[in-house]
Amino acid sequence: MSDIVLTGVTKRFNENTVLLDRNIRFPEGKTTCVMGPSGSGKTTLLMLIAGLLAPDAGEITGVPERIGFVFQEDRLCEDFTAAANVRLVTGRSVRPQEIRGELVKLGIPEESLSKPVREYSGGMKRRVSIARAMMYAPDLLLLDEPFKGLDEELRRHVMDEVKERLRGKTVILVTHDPEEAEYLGGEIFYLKEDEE
Amino acid sequence: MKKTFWYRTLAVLLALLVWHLVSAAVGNDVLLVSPLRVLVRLTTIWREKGFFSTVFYTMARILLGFVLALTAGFLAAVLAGRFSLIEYLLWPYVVTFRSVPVASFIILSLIWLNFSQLTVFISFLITFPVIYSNVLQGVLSTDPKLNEMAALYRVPWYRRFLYIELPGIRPYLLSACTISIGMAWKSGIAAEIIGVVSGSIGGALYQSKIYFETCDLFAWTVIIVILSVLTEKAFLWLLRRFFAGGEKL
Repeated sequence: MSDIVLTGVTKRFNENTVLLDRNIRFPEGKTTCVMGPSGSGKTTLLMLIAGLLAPDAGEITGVPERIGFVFQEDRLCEDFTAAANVRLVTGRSVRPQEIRGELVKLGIPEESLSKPVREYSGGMKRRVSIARAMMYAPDLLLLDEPFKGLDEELRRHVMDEVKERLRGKTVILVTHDPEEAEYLGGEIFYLKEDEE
Repeated sequence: MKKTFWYRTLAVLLALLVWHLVSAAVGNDVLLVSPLRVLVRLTTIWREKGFFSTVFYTMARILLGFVLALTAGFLAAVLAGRFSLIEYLLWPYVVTFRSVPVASFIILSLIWLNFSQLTVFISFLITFPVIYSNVLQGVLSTDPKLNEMAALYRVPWYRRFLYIELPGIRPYLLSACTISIGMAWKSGIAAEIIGVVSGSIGGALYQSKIYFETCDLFAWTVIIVILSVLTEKAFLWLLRRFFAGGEKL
């Protein structure tokens, strides 16, 4: 494993240039918080690192194979239970009791575990998405505004869990909240809007 | 659910009453037999020699045609959903199967095939496009973002198919089966009538027509309706069980 390095990366969507000739280094085993105004390309940056988008120019190196991603839209199978959503990505490598334990730790009530995710609140879905990404045991974790929609107390609790579990792993967190960035520690990287 | 059942039962009884009144008004059993006579005939028809072999002959062939169409339509739709080239290549066949009158296919099939293959082929031909189009719609309705997520987490293809695509296909497939089992019966019997296939339900219907045995014609029709409903319920039950098993992770 090594640092994740973006060299001369450019990404356009039709006429709109989101990232222009960017050179960024994300240190291995550290947390980096990416901040910036809306439309500055934060989500695009994560998608490029995850390989879900291809850059129009430049290259990205050092990306490990196992990537966990907390997407902005949760991307859960709505008819499945929370544990089934996690198990879909972990396979049989993690025992069901362990998954349920982790979900409860993240504040999912025990009585909700047998219900399909469709019946969950936005905040609960968010936590299932976080649990899924963490239990996958990724070498790189990409978090796109993961604590959005959680109330203050729950947010602290979930952040503590994430911090504890991901110690020593490479984490890239996109957030609008400087407090979140500060609480999770690590470097802060400001992404400004690119114009051609 | 219970309320619906009683309302439906009442509606059926009412329809039978209307039938009885109309038949009494017509006053000619050859033109329109009364439901009571059909009911009496139903109690004796199954005791006649060859009844069960006739029912088995037709049912086995119609269900074989349907199962083949279900399998082929499902696989073709899954592949067409992934590779648009397959969708384009299948398009002319699907449109042809859907729009050409079933009688034309039956007559052509009589030239190409033997009697025992006729019912299977026609049932297949009529139900294939319904299953294919519905399942394809289900495949295309799968959220691409879920597939993207699964690809990122390196979920193997069979798990992706079982747990992401199949639940999306489920309602479309169930509705396709509900429509197409009835169509398989209708088209299969029509093929047997036009082909005058002896030892089949269609053949028995044809004989009833030749000898003006309207009572037998109605009795066989009732048997077809019962068999069609029973096979539809059985298939839907089997499919629901299959999907319930697939969703357990």
